[in-house]
Amino acid sequence: MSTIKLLSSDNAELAVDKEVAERSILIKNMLEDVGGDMSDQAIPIPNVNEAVLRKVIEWCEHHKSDPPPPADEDSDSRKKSTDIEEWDQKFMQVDQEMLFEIILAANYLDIKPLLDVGCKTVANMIKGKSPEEIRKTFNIQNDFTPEEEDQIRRENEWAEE
Amino acid sequence: MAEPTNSYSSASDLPVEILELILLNVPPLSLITNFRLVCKTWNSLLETSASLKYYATTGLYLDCAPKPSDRPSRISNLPIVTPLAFDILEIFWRKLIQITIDLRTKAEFPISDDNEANPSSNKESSHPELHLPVRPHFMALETLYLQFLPLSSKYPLLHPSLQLCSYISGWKNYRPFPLISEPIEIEEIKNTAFHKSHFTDFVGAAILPPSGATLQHLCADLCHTVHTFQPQIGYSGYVAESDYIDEKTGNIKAYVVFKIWVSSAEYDKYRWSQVVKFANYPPYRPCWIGKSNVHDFRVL
Repeated sequence: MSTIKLLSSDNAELAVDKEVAERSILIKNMLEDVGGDMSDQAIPIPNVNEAVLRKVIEWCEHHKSDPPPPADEDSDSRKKSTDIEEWDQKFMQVDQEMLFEIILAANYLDIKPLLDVGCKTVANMIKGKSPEEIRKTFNIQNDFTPEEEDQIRRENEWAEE
Repeated sequence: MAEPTNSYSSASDLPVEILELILLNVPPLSLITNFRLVCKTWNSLLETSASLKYYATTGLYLDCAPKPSDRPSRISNLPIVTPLAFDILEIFWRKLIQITIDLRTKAEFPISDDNEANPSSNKESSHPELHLPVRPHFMALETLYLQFLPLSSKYPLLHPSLQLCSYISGWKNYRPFPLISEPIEIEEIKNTAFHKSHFTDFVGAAILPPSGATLQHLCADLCHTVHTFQPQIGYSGYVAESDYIDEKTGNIKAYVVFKIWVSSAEYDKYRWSQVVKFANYPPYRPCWIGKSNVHDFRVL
C-alpha cells in the first residue's frame, strides 16, 4: 500500500496510507490532479496543526473502510439522526478548542462524515440549554439590548411552561 | 479562513457555515425559542440561511424536503403537517388541558353521570348543567389562543390546529379534514424526511359545536394527520367537560380531551397506562374511539 506524507502548519511531517488520506476529498482530488505519485513530496496542509492533523488521521484510520458518503442527491435518513456511534463519541471527548479545530479541519479537508460528527457533538452540548448557559459554554457575548431581549421573550411566551 | 495558530474557544469565531451545520442538529423547537436569545448572529442566521430557516420553521431539512411531484396524486391536496408543527401543537394541547383540569378541579362544573359515551347524541336531554356560567374558562382559552395565533402565520402547516384555535376563540364553524375516499398509501409517504422521534404521544382538546363536527370528527382530523405518516397508531378520547350553552349563540359546546399514541411496538403498554391515568382523574370520562384505522370512525 502506498504511503503519502502530509505537512502540518507547524511543519510536522506525517506519513499516512494513501487510502486513509483519501478520506479527505481535498487530498483525494489533489492526488488525482498531480496524477498519482507523491511519495517523495509532502502535501502541505497549511490550515491544520500537527496535533489536530494527528487526530483527524486517527479518525480517518478508523473509518477508512466505511462506505463512501452518499451522493448529495440521495442523502438518507442517517443525516437526520443525532446519534453518534460509540467510537466517534469517545473520539470527540476532547476539549472544546480541539473540538472546534477538528471541525474546521474536517471542513477544510472536506471530510464530510467527520464534519457531521463534529457538528452533532457540538449540537448535543447545547441541546436543552438556556441562552445564558449557551453563551457561557461558548464564550459568546450577549449583544441584545434589554428591549430587544424583551421583545424576543414576549414572542416566545407561548413555549413557556 | 483561520490562521493555524488561532484558538477557537468561542463559538462566535466559527465560520457561519459551520454554525449553520451545528444548528441544523438542534431540535427546531429550541431554535425558534431560546436559541434566538443567544446573540444577534444566531438570531439573524435563522432568517438569512435558507436551510436553517426552512428547518426552523418546519423541522424538515431543505435538501430532503418532499417535492410535490414525488407524492402520489391522490394525496397531493393534503397538507403536510411538519414535525415542528407537532411540537408546537403538543405544547398547545398541554396548556389547553391544563386549563380544563384547573377549572374542573375547582368543581365549577358538576359532572352529569348520565352522559353517553358518544357526546354527539342526545345533547339536549343528557346535560342538566347547560346553563352554568362559562366566562372564566372562556377567557383562559382566549389568552391561550391569542398566544398561539401568531404562530400559524410564522410556522406553516399548523393545520389543523389553526382551525381548532379559531374554533376555540370564535366558535367558528369547524371544518373537518377533507375526506378521502380511498385509503392512503402509507409506504410512499413514510419516506418523507420525518423524524421518528417526533411521534410520541399527542394530547388534544377542542370544543365541539352542537351540530356538524363531533368528537369523532375531531379525533379523525388529528389522527388522520398523524396516521398519514405513521400507520400504526392508537388513539382514544375522553369527554373532559360537560356541555354547556354559549350565551351569545345558544349553541351547545362540549370539551373533549383526547390522546393519541403513536407507537406500534409499545402500543398496548401505552394504552393501558395512560387510560388508567386518565380514567382515574375525575373530570375525564373514558370514551373509547377506536384504534389504528382512522377510516373506521369518520362521520359524515
